[in-house]
Amino acid sequence: MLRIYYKQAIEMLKQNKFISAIAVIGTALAIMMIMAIIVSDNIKTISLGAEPNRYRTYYVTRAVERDTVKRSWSAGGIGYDHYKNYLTDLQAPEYTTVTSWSSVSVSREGHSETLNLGVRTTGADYWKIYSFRFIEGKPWGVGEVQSGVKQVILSESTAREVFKGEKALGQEVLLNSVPYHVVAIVEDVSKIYDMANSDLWIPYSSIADYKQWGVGSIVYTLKNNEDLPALDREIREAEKRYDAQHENKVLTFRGPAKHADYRLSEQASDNEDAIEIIRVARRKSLFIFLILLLVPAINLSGLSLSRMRKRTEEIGVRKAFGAKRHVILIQVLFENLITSLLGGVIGLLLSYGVIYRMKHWLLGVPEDSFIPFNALISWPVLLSVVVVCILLNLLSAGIPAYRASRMNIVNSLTQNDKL
Amino acid sequence: MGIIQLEGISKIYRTKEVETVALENVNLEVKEREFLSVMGPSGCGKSTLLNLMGLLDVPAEGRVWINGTDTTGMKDGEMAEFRNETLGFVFQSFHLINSLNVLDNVELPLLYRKSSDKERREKAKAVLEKVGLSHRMRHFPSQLSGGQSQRVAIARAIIGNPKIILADEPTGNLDSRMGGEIMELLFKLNEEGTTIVMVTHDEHIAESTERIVRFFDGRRVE
Repeated sequence: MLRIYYKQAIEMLKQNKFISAIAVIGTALAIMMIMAIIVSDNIKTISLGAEPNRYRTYYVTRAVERDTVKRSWSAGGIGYDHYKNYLTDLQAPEYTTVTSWSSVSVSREGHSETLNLGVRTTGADYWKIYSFRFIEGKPWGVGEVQSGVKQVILSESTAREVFKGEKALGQEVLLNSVPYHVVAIVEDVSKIYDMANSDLWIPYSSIADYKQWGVGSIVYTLKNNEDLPALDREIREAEKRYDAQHENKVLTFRGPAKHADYRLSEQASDNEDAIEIIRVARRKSLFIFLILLLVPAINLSGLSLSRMRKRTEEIGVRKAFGAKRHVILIQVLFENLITSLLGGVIGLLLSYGVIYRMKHWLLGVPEDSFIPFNALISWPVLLSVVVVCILLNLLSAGIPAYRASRMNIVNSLTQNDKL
Repeated sequence: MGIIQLEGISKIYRTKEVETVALENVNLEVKEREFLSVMGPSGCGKSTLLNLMGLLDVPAEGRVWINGTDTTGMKDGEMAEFRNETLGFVFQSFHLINSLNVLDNVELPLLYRKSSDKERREKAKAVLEKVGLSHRMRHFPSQLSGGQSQRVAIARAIIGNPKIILADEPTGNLDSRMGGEIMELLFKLNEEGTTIVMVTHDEHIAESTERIVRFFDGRRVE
């Protein structure tokens, strides 16, 4: 039966080219807007490429300390003492590391050229949490981090830019005039991987006075997400331990926040506020999603209704020969779904175009950033476009289909019924 | 009891302003294998009668028995099933679906039964063969003449092997030669055992059938 519905839907598209084109384009534009948001969100959260463990990775990004006597507070990144004495050696995580990002001036001894590049500090487990393709060399381990050795890993393009085609591995490079030894070259990482991307990577302990500067954010990767309550419990216990050891102080660590939320939670004054900020952001997203779905659905509904009006006679014939109401309903929705899916494919392709043209606005990455193909085409994206097509189909064709299914047969055959 | 039995049938159409009595206290029995013509002037209720026999509409009063079943109070879905299994329709303006080819149009009644694709295809080809249109299977209705369209409509009406065919002026839109061909087909079906009730304006055609009932102003007059 569905084969015939499909054939008929395609034939109707061919027979009514102009109306069909308007319906498909209308659907495609609606889906383009929705999918641009969904795909962008997916790119920011999918576990893929250099960040394959996003789904089980959690961040503690800030520490807020309140003085209950002076009624003052201070907030900032995670301090070395916080990390070393309270937030390392937790039982729940499989891996724990620290990371921060800043800019650095990069030069070579005896060369006048200085480049301003991004450098990321890391711990040893960083290389287990994030996935890099090492072209040459290997990353540092716990021993190197503990020793504070000045080692640097360069991205392929950085190595090319700094060493101008010379072999970089084993050479020295000056970072803010401090010599670092190049121990590895890795393939460039797309800027969409915000925790893995950088031009250079150095051990956090290689920075002078790192114990005063702090370690940035702490990254925990769990064996599985069922361990999250345990991680949360351990962090809260660490806060209590700190408070007990520091009179009149109340310490709050911001997190553990999942990859999708940690940037939002950084804006919050405390963890409850972070939860509220995330909730508000979700509600806003849902509201935008509904508007983007409903407004075109209402417009397309008029088009569906006008297409159905031309088919009142056919509906009468089908019912005369035994089609039940629900069969008519299913047929109309199925046929409309063909249009929606056609629009969905076009809309998805258009949304990729929108994302490429509006990377900075949608993803917060520079316009020249590379987006890997598999970040665009993934099962969640494909599933989303199908779900959006079905929702748009139900919203735009639901009422026309319902009304068609309830039409009086005789009036339909004489085309006296007003749909 | 006949294969179609109408008892005290009335049908009234109401609008905000007027109430029109289309049929009033009609009693009629159609015997199995009979070929009955229904005649009368325009607006006398012939088509309404056919719609009630075909369960396309429900009477205001009275009972409709089809093939021994009292259809009074049947639900929409039950009626759809009953129509599909027992009745076939041939309309004056053919009512073929323009976006389906001939084969798919003919298959239509079997879509609403538990028939496999293969079974539907085979039966559709067989009935198209029977009406002499097997060479037009892949054509669309817009590519057919009036006579061919009506033959497709007959093929569609008989594919489900119904006991009764209800034909509403089946030759009304055709010239006399094509009309003759359609009547031949209907006579053949009747000979094979199908009961046919046909509404017609054509006295000559009506006289060629077994029996004529006449209506005037919603009443049976003969």
